[in-house]
Amino acid sequence: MRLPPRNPVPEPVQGLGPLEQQVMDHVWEVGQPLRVSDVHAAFRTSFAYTTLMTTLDRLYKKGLLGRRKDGRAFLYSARLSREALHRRVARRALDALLGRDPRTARPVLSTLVEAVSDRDRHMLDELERLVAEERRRTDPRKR
Amino acid sequence: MRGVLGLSLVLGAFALVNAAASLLALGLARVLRGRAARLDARRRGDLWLGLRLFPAAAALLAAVLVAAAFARHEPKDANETVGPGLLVLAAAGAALTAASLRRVFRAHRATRRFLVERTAGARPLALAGAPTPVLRVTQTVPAVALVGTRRPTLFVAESALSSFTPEELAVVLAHESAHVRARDNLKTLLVLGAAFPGGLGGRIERDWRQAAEEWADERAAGGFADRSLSLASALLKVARLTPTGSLGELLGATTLHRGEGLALRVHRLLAGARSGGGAPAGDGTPSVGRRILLLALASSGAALSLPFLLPALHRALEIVVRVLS
Repeated sequence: MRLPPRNPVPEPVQGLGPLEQQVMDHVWEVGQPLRVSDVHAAFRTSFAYTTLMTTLDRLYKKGLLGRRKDGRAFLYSARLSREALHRRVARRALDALLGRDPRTARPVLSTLVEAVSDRDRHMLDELERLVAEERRRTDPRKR
Repeated sequence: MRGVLGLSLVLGAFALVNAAASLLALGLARVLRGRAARLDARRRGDLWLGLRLFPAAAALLAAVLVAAAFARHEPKDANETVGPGLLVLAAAGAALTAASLRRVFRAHRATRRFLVERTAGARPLALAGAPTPVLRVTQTVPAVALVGTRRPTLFVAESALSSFTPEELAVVLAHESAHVRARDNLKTLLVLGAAFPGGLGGRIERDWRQAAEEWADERAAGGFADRSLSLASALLKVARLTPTGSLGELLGATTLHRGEGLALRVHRLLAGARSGGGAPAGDGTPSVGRRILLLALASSGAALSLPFLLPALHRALEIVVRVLS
């Protein structure tokens, strides 16, 4: 008999809070199981130990982190890659936006295309600013 | 009937080995992705290219061995039939081969159209440091493209030429030279034709393309801050000229910017400019001596093992035919 997984990955519908996002970023970056104390040390104690413990527990309950017992502590690890999580969130949001009626989908899609173009433009502006800044730093004559 | 059985076995072996090797490649890619990020661009490129080509290469080898074993050891008067299981496998092999051929054919057609459109009205351009003949074209997309495997041609859009500074143009040409030296166009051709079921190799392919571009960026910048920044600036200019996803797949071609991984490349160039680290070592291609040695070892190994391998393989095929009938 196959038992169902104890904590199946649910569709994450709600967005992540700022601290949850930071913790997930850290877990993805490290890429190996972490204790609460590891996360607490990595955040250089800017947050209370109990705050991080609660955040990790919340991420576990949302199905974004898996955990297993290691002595008296839990070891937490990511259940989804960053890319997979973003894809799921985007798919849920798009499904909700597009609906089933093609007439409602059309304006949403054209807005999306505009938003993507704007985002591209902003990204290129930002990258150009960084390049110009670096050029000024390495070549002070171009200030 | 013998011919149909032989063809079914070859196609079935191709499908089966391709599927198994693809699963292995996907598993390895998943396990190695974290570690690969720490490798330099050249090694990362080799890893992703190896994983992307591995299933097709393994399947091709299996198909050739099965064909040889069947041709040499199957009696002329054998009257075995093709069972339903083998038929399904053979159909999968035929579908995989057809998908690869279709991909190559479409890209070939797109490339022919591209060459006809671009070369009409194009003007040859004499540029110092250009790795290949250069054509100045009026079309804006792609802004810079290196097309062809044996004698590639560099197509540069007038709009890009007029927007580049001399330093940017020089480093763009160095970037394309790095692609020529690494034979990246030949590699794109192989990737295009290498079967990978269900398009599952897409991510590995994207990872390889990204690594190949980063390696060409590193070679072009040569560890100099000003060259890194000129290339970053040229990339951003090209990105503004080239709408994302505006270019289809071409046969044996690389473009300076395809609309993916731009931010990562610019950040890497900025990091290179900041560190001012030395020029990357080697030119990214293994030495001829090492290649010949590897090829000689592989060929002698294959020649020595064939007299034992083919009869054993034929016995295995007999069992497979019985089981699948």
